Amino acid sequence: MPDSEPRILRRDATSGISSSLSSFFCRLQSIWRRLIMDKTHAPDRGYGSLSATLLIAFLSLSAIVLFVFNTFDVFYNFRMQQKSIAIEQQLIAQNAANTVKYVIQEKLSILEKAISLGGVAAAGADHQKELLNKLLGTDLSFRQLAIIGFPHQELVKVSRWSQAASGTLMKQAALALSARLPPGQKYVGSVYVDQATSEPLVLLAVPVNNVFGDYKGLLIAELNLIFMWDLMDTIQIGSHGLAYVVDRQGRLLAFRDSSRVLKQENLLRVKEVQEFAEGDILTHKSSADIVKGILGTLVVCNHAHLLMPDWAVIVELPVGEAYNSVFHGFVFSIAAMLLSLFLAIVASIYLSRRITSPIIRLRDATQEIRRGNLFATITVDAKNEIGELADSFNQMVSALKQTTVSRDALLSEIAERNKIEENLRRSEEEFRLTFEHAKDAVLWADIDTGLISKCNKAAEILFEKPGEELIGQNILSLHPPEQSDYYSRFFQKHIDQKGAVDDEAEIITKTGRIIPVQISASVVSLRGKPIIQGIFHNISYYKQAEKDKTILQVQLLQAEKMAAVGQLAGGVAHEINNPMGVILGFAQSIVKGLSPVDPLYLPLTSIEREALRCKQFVADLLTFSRAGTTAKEEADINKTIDETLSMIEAQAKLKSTVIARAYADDLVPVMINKNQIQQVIVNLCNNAMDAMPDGGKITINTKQEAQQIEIIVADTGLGMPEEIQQHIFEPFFTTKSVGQGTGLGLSLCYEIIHKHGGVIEVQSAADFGSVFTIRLPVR
Amino acid sequence: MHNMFSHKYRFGRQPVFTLSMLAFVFSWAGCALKTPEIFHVGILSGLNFTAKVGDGFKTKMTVLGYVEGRNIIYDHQTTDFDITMYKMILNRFVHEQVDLIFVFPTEATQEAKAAVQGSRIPVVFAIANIEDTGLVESVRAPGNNITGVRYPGPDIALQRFEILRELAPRVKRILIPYQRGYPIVSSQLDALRPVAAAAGITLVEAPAADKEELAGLLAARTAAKNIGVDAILALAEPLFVTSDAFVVMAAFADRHHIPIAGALMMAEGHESLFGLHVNDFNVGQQAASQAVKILKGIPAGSIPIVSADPYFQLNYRAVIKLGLHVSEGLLSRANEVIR
Repeated sequence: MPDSEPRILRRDATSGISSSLSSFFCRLQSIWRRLIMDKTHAPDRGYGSLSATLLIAFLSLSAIVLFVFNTFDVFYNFRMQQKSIAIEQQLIAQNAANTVKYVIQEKLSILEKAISLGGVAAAGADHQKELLNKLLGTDLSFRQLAIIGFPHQELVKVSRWSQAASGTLMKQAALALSARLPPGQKYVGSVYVDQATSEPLVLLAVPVNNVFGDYKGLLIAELNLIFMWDLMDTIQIGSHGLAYVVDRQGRLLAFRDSSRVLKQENLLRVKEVQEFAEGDILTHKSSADIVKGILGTLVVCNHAHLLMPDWAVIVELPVGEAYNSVFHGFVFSIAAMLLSLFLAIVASIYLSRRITSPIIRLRDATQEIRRGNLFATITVDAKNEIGELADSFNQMVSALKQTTVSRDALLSEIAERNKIEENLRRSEEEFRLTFEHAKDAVLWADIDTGLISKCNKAAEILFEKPGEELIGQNILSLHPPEQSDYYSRFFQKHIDQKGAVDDEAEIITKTGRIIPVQISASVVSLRGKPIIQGIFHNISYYKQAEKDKTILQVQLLQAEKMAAVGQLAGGVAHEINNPMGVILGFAQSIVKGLSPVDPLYLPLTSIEREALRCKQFVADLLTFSRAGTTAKEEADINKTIDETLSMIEAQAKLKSTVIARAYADDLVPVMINKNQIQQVIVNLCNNAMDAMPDGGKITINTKQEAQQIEIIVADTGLGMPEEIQQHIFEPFFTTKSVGQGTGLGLSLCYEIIHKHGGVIEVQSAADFGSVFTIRLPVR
Repeated sequence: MHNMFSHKYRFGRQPVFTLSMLAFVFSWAGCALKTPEIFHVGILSGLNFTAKVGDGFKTKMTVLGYVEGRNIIYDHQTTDFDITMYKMILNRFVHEQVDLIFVFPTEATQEAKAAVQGSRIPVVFAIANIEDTGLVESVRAPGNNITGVRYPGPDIALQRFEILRELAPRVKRILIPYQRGYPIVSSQLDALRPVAAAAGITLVEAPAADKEELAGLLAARTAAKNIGVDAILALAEPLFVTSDAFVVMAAFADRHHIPIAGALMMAEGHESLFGLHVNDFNVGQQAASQAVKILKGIPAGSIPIVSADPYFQLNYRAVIKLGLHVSEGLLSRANEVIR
């Protein structure tokens, strides 16, 4: 089953069919879709189903034939029924008309015979009355009979009813007729209704002649036409048909609903009656017209003319009933057509199966062969072109088997090659990804010319050059020019050794930056030709880290020294301070009691002087050891510096030194130990003045950089070489002669600033003076 | 492999489809066919004397296409002038919702009209006098869902009078016996009186409740020196057509050698000269025509009343016996001559 097929069926199933009839049509639809969508073996190539095509063709042909046949059949039946109805109605109407006509003519004939046989013309009144009584007894349809003589108009009358009830109508009628009726002419009057009995009556009149044919009067009869009413009742026209009689004026004379007759209804509104009233009797053509009938419904209508009297019988049949057989015929035609269509479907499916089954087997076999099954054959019993095609196919398969014996090996080799190619493609892809996305710069260069032939993205970043610019450059140009010779030799040696070499080196970027790198160079073979592959690993970070590590180590060492010195100094100062105080006290006391010429005066003053120096030294040691324990306060740096300078300005003048101030105005107050910071300034200024034996200039700047206050103390002294700078903050390091310095001044500055969370740096060069920069945190 | 010829899609279920489709088609076609309607008609024959009316009705109905058992069912009930039974039978008809009630004569028709009040059951009557009974509104449009064949009582009374005079021209005094209080008598007398007066004839009216009273009246005349009448003429009423009463009247006529006529009666050696009545069978047929119109859908109240034709029966034997002369014309007009 192709994938598309169940999807379509499921989609159909969602259409919500509940009734069995709908289910039936759904089933048909399902089969139909299966036929249409039969793409079992070629779902993606848009092939239709031959079975479906044949089925459609058969069905279409059957449907067309059935439709045409049924259409003609229904139309023919309709026309035949129309003719049949016209004939039938005409016969019924004519039969009824004849019945009425014959009754009336028979009555006229009876009257004529009675005249001729009874000798009415020559008889007397009594004889005439007796004759009329006989006639009345002979025929029950005569209500009254009368003879009126000519020219004297004597009247003889008999009645079926009492003389009293019959009244004078007959006499009046007889007189009127005798006056206007031409001699020798028969007469049929208009229909009228008896008021007492509600019966339809008509006057008949025949001339009374003697044996010589002379006109002697009229024999008038009042004829009861109730038979005509009964006749209209008894006429059977289908189940719901009806008949009625009208005269030339359209008056209704007889109808089953006698109340309408009694009203003497005029029916000229009925088209058939109008046709009779206005039409030419001789040219009337019988037709089953569909008109609005006497009851106001659509009927098939026809009429027959009586001629004598001038009446017509109209017959009507409801349209539905008239064409009921046509309708039933139509229904059964539809049923037959549906049944035929169903049989046509079955036959079509069967035939299409017969035709397409071997073709489908052929198709399946070819697809089996396509999938590699060369043993697929088909068996078709048909002895026709398809059977011939099947035989040819089997022969073709046999030949194909012979020519494709090594196909499996070939397929295996192809598969192997495909696998290798796939591996190659994968390897190449992996290499390409590795090469292009490596974090280290990779360069390939020609081994003979040293020209770069390929580089990766990391190389472009490292050398700050696009790949196009790198390719074609000599690898030596990647290094600082002064090192070209070295690297030339380096690469040559590497090439000669034909091995891999790792070494640290420096490269120069497009912007001139020198970057330390670790080079891993090797000679590799590319498509048989040796090339140099260099991998450049940026080691700037490591170098910087190494440098930082060294600094940290120095600082650590310095800190350790300072701590040790501080601890030592504290202990020493504590132990020395007291005895030194005693020595100094006694020395000064003795000196005060001696005259300068006393031989002990000089030694004692020396003891006093040295003791004072020792005291100062001890004081410094104590300051050094207590630097981190002093309380801080918020202070204005500029003001603090000014107070400090005021203390040393006198000394500076003595040493021909100028102190210049360059303060920033917007310094924020900082938390400091004011005395300690002042001591730092004093120490730096003293050192500066010591460095300017011939005088000079000390410049003190202050400024705020972000969250730091900078104090810069610069002099124009001798400056310091690098090797001295490295030790100036170490305790007891001094370049001064013995007795001139303790070596604690700058180390004390360092300790104080460090305890304040700041840093102190020095920049100095021989003969260019020194610059000390102090950075204190604002908070 | 799935395709149209896969085993799953063979036609195992096709017979079901076929039957379904055929059932659908034929049920559709069958919708056009109608079940024939069967009418239920109740007949009340209220007087044995007129029993043939029912036969004529059924016969004509058959002729007109209403065949008993096929498309019409009759519930034919017979009783002899029993008003209580009339009511009971008619109420049952109404309860059973019959399609039509055919009833005769006048008294039964009056009860029928009352019984169907409030229902839609039409009534067809026969041999009923419409004069002085209030059965219908008019001859042309009777109304009240009722129609039928009227009994032409006044005209028949006049014709009886005329025939009697033709047979016995010397008669000057005519005894008119009738049941006292019978409703249709007055209209007949009203018709007769002016005609008799114009002809110089004296009508001797003799109302009686029963034969005993009638016998008493006649005995009194017999006892008198002059019986005071020259003939006895029957009206359309029940007393004359009751055998016992007729015998009393006929015996009186025979004893005094006077004609007795109007209704044809023969009992205990006595017989009347002629009878002018209606043909019950024919009347039944006339009523059938009316009934068919109703069954075809025409409202009964709009169907005009028709009149029954008179039926003349001449007892030639009795006429001769009484020494009277019969004209050839009268003989010719007789529908039936008894010799």
